[in-house]
Amino acid sequence: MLCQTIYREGDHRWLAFGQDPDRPDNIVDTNQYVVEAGGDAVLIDPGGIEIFPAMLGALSAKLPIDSIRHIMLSHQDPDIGSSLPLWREVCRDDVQIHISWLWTSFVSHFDGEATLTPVPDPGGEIRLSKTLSLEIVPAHFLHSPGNFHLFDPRAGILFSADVAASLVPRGVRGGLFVEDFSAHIPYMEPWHRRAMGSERARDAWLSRVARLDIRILAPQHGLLLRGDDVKRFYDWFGTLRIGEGIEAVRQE
Amino acid sequence: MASELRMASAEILAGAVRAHLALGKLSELAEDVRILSLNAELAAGRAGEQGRSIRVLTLATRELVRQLTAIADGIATLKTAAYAASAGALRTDLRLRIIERARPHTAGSALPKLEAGASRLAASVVTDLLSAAGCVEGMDKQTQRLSATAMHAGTIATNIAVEAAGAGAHGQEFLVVSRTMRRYAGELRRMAEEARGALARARPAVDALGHVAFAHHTRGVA
Repeated sequence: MLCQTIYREGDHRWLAFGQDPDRPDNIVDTNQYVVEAGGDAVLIDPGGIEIFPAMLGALSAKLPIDSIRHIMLSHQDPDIGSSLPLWREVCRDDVQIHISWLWTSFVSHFDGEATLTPVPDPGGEIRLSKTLSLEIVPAHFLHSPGNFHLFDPRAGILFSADVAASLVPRGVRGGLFVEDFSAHIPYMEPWHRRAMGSERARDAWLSRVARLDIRILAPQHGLLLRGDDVKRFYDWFGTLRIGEGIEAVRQE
Repeated sequence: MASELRMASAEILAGAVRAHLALGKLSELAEDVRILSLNAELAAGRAGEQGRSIRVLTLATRELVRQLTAIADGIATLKTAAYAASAGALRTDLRLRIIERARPHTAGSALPKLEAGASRLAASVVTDLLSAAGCVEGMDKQTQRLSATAMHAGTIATNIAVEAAGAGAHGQEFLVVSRTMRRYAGELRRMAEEARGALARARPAVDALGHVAFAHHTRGVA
């Protein structure tokens, strides 16, 4: 599994893991992230059970496993956190697992012995060091009804889960970041049209993130967006017709 | 979970499933015996003094029904427990397999933690499988009780036939009860034999599991 440092300043860094060359084609490609500061770390969306071996291998080569004090699950899907019981086998006993209050009893189907920290609808924060708090930003209905993103104000990085996600074929990827936004749209569009639950939710999210100084959008699938592409994404997403599939429900 | 442990697990579960299938109509049969007992009691009442001995035998039949119901309930509880323990072992085994895959890639302080986790999970698998094996042994005891109850039902049928001979005009009615009871006793015996056969086929797996658990425990102590 590839691992790339996407931000570093002193002991504060972001690591992005993904594009596993050994991943079978029937398993959707996912990105996992680690934010580390002051010797402590948060593992964001650790992934499905099938990618655990590759992910643990890549992560353990980069940082001591005991530095992971928090695991954040953006929502309840299996590609987000079905590996949770395995991570709990290797992480410290007091690792805190954050997930929307809506999903605590659902995620317990993956791991009935885990103690989960429910995140209320307005969000909250994960304090990583004396000087760094990560903001848990609500993104409900994008796509899950109980969905959170994670913002690092110092790095200017927003982990955006399924927002800005893309399904890019293996042969097309040239790196970790989008290089040509227009050419990238076809890889994002079907997913956003279908998976995003509400235009009201989309507009509320755009209004919320417009107030944040975001330099990198780091989704859970596909390529990351940086610099001017972040603004280009807002503009594109803001006018996109979403909710594809509803017409099929209406038809007799 | 090593392959022999997986095989033992599959055989234990198969034994529990087959035994439960063999005893699938036990509750129904217990209900049939209860109704037969009730009818015999009514017939004995109609026969007056000539039905007095039959009335005593219907009390024994009631006890038979109580025993059959208890055996059927016991088997159902053990089957559910065996399924739950096997499911727990399979779930943990899945995690163990993934951890096995992770081992060659894992570095640094994560490796001893991974190995400790694997050891915990292996112990949990063995505990679950021992629990499933215990259920199979419990089912075997229940089927032994069923064999004894079937024999008792046959004896009651014989006694009813003997008493029918001295029951005058009501004798024919009591003979029908006796024949029906004998048929039920035969069905109970067949069920018990089939279930015991299924459980006997699982016995080597239960024994093998005992050896594996002992070896695991010895390693743990060491």
